[in-house]
Amino acid sequence: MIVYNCPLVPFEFFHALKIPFRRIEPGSGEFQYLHPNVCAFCRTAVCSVKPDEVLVWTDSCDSMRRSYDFLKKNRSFYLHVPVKNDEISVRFFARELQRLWEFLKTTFKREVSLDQLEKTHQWFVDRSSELQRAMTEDPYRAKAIFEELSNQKWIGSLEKRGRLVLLLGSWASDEVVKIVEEAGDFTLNATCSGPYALISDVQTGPDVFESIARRILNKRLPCGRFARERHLQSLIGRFRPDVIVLHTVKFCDFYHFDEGMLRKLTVPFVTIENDFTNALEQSRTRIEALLERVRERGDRKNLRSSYFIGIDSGSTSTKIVVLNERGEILFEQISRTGADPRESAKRLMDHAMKTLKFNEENCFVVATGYGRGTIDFAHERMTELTCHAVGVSHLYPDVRTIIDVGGQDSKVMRVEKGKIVDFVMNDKCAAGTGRFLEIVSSILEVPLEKMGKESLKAKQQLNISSVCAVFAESEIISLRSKGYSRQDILFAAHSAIARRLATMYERIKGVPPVVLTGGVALNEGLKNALERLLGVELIVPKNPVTTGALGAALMGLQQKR
Amino acid sequence: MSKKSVAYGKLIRFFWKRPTTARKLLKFGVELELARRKTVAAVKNDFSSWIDLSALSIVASAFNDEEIALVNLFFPTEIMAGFGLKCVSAEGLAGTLAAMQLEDFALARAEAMGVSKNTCSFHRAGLGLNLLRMLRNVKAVAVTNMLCDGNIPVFRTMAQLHGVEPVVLDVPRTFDESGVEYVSRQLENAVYELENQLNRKFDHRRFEEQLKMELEIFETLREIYPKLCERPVKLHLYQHVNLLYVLHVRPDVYMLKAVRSLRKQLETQVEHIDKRFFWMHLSPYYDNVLNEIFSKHSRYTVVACELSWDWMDWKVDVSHPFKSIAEKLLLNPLLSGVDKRIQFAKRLTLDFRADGVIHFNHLGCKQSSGSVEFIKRAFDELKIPFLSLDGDCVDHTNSSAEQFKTRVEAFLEMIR
Ligand code: SF4
Ligand code: SF4
Repeated sequence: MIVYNCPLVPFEFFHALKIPFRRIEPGSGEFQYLHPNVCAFCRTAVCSVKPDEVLVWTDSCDSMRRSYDFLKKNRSFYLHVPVKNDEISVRFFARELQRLWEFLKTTFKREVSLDQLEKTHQWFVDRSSELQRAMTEDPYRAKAIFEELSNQKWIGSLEKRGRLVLLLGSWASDEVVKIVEEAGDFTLNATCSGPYALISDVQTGPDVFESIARRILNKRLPCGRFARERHLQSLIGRFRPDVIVLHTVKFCDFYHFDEGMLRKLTVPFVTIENDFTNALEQSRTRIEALLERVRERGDRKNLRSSYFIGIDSGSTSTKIVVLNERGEILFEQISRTGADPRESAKRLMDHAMKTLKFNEENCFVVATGYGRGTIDFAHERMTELTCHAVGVSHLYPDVRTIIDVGGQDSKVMRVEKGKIVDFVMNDKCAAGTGRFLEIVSSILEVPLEKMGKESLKAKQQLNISSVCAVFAESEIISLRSKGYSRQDILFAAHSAIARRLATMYERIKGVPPVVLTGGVALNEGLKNALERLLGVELIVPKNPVTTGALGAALMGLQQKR
Repeated sequence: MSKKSVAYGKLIRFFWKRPTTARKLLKFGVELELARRKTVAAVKNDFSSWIDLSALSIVASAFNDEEIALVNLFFPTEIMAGFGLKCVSAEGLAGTLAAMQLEDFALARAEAMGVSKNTCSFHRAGLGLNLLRMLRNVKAVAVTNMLCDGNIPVFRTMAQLHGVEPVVLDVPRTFDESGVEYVSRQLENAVYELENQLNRKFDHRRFEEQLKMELEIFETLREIYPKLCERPVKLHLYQHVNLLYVLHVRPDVYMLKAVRSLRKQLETQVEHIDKRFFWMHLSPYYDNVLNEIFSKHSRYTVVACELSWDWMDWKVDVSHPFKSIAEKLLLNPLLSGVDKRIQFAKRLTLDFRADGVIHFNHLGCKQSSGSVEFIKRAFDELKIPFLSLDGDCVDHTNSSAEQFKTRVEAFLEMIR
């Protein structure tokens, strides 16, 4: 069996020599000997190589090169794939391919003529152009060709429906595609796990190795590693997707550069970073929020309900808002989420029903927040991003930017007429979230609610350089031992979070008026620090914590005829 | 790296919202320091003063309106000498910002265009500086993927910003005849491309002069190597970074003076060194506790840094310049599998009689730290203490002094 690591290999060889082959695939385990700096994909995919397999390993990136160090026991061919596609590179690559051809023939003791190879190459080229046509016209056919040529499993469903989501970036698994499909939409996989990796501009010439070299180096959509620019525009022009999901891998150097290009286009997109360890829950929120953003608000339903309930099940607290048919707030409450998000939501709901004296038949529930999936009595689910945008825009119709700082995550959204036009989220580390303040509060022994006020009493402007909670902790302790006052340190801590948020604000090109929401919005220290950094005045709603739930309730109400 | 730079950085920080002023201040500060280092070097005439001067003179070109070529650390800069362009490396500029603790502006700028926080901060800060329009007279952008592929998209983006076509040098991972031919053809082609782009002729004489200079620098180092191994000179940790930076980006007349004075120094002075260390990959360039632990005045001395000697298998051949440069790149012991690198590291460690080895894992640098496990095993076999230290060379907010301290001190206790 031949194992290859990336589709920049000469598949023609494997077919012509009739040797079974497969691609490495990320598994469940992580390879602990590769340093954590190495890309998440490699760290799990290296485990899938078995000792008796013959490797055709390309040096497609630093992570792949370092992974190869661990595979020395296998018989292998290490193939340098040039990053350029000019004549000099094509010729060099052709000679490398020729060496690989000889290697495979000897290793597997096969004798196949160059004529036969030539024919196989021609067959491959024909099949791949058929594949390109089939991608839009006949997914079933595309699947068959793709699997035949590359021996990889097709990712995603074959029935076209909903909106067209173009998936770009690094090797993506079916989990990513599933998120799109569960929202009722169709994915076109243009990552290197999809058919587009096999499509090239070919020019066949007299030397078969040069022809194959050209096929590989002239990929229609160049990989991120190539010196050539990735022509996303032409790809997008061809498929006209409704939205784009840019799938990047943690510690991969290449694909996040696409974001710069996507920002110049008009197609809504979202970037997700996959570390192949968590269950992609954070990516789910981002993708769903993006899809909600472009959703045509469907036909209004003939709802008989008179109570419209929004439940925002966050990681620390659950909020409920109940509206009547005129959109007036009848009830509003917050409680801790605890270990069972469904349970806390149910309790709030029961409490509302008892207080307002209505029953389940008479209400329409929209759930949002991280725990939205668990709330089985909800009629609809929406991401908290969309709900925040709707809720805040209801209170402040002119709002253009929303900064929401929650306990475990923070998000900055640019909105226009109640719809999100761009957003970024931070939910992977404590930096820039309420969690960071909690840590500071416990080190300095200042109650959370008092921290902001205290920070404003600072006498000098200290600087905490780190926003990583672990590092900041030791920095704070050392400041403390140097005798700085609590107030001064608090000031520095608030500025540190504000700096993170300001970067996010810049990333989406935020514009005033800006509304600050979330549990941390009531912290004057943070508000102050942010205003200083951004140079704009921030508006804080009376109930900054319930805007998500309010938005959810409003989304329900909007559906009533 | 010094408190002075940090203080000056604070001043610039104050004016950061006004790029023209900030740039002027940066230029002024660098030139002032350059003048100081010139005097120091002239008076002291010793190895470390000349390398400090040489390193800063490279950075100074970036801000004093000379015509520059923006390159990465491993790009063969000799070519640019033939076009009269001064080379400045993006990594070096990132380091300069870090020394003043101003890198956060550049990092934030790169992040704002979507560049992931998990990628090498040399790249991010280098790119950010360009996005901030701090570099004015960039005539060429050139990059090689020889050690690190992450360079390519970064330099592609920088070239776009400056409206030029990037010169890209693709380096295969093994040294053989076809590889040498491939790289030398690319070099010749690069000269041709640059002639068109710059609309000027390539000056072979200057190109050869540069190579001759390198011949003298590297041959002198080779000649004094045995002595240096025996009695290394004391340098601050950050000066090793200066040294490797100069040796790669611009081995110039200052560097020549540095090696000449080193030869003299070795004849006379004997410095007492308590414990010797061999350093692998780079080290943080901002003011940090590692520079204190491994300062010139400490009992713990870094005697050699891997990247200052990666040219050792190479001999300059002025009569076949392109081929010779191709050989330099392909003979780099860090280029291919980890085994070669290990052999090289062992050799230096044993030659310099190091008591311990430290490998710095710069965040996001896969090529250097990916298989550090094997390097560790190799030194374990030799029974030489080895420390694999994680951190960030540029982003000072991404490391913790306390963590460095605890780890390194525990390691030093092992050796004592
Ligand atoms: S995801 Fe990126 S770093 Fe990882 S194997 Fe693919 S190209 Fe390499
Ligand atoms: S530190 Fe590593 S990733 Fe960064 S530029 Fe150097 S080689 Fe590349």
